[in-house]
Amino acid sequence: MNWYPGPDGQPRIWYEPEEIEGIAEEELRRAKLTPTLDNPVTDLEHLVEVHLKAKLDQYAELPEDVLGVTHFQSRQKIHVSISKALTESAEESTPRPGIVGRWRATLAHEASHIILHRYLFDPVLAGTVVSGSKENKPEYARLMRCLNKDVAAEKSDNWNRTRRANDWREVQANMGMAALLMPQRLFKRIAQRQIDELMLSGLTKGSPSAISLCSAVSDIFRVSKQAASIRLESLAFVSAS
Amino acid sequence: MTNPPAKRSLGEQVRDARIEHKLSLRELAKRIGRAPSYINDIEHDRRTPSEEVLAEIAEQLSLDIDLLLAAAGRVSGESQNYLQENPTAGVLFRRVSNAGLSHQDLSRLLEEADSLIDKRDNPSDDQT
Repeated sequence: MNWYPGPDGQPRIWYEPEEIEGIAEEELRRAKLTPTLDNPVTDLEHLVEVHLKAKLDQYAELPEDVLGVTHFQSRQKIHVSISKALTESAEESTPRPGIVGRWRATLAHEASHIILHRYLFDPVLAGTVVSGSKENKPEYARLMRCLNKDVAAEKSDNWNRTRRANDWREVQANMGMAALLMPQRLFKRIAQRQIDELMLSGLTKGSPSAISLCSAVSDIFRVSKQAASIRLESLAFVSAS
Repeated sequence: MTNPPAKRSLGEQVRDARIEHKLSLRELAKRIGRAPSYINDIEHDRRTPSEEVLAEIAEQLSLDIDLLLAAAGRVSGESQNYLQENPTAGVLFRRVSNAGLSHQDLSRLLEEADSLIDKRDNPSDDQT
């Protein structure tokens, strides 16, 4: 974790992708929520409410394009709001394909904002770490609205471009989201087990084998097929061509 | 001088107790046969539940129903009947309310009431 000034003069935090994996793994371990082979689904509500001690509103009236909001306020409980429409869609007896994965991705994305970005709103920490003029002192309260387009699985290619991008926090939260939903070590074991059990070979992107593998792991981790597919590619289980 | 207890809303009391009891929103909702969205709204003070729902929540989360009713700004049906049958109780409440008695004063009144109840229920204790 490194602090640096963004183009707007505001302090930013830089994480390498592997660092985010490690932070997420450690956070799950401390919360005693590390998924296992027998129980591979991360309990995100518990993580947010109990471990991260945030006030979680799962049925918040949010604008149509907003899936989740994390509200940081100095010296107060962090408030996480999830779209009522999204939660209700995920609760339907026969939810639309991918909607449960979307709901879980949103919770994991907001949890990642807390894990990775709470330091930005801690007046003591941010104030001592960041030196600068009065104009670029850190903000102590902020709403992070996460739009539909913001909550998406990320590839770590071109990671350095996020250093000066406006949506740097969203990109980092998406990386954290994948790490919380599909912890790397467990994901590798489960993906390999599925390859062996289903006797899959020729795992290139878009091939029937790759589609079967993606479907199996997305069901196991209760994540979207897109998130599982990106994880399989980034961990080299599926090749791009 | 003792400080009055920090004022926590009904929703905060329910949410904190649920988490303390290691129950998820959906687990609590299932136990009392209500929708998770309804419990969520109570926890965020967007809805004031009926006495019946408050009693179910109190039972599941080992909370004092009287404190929940007070936080919800309600009095129980039993208390309403008592007030109708005993107008002096209403006068007493208005007197206390109009005087704006402090938490400490109210605690003393409550102790006095408990002592009266105890004397009524255990008259033999007085004679010993």
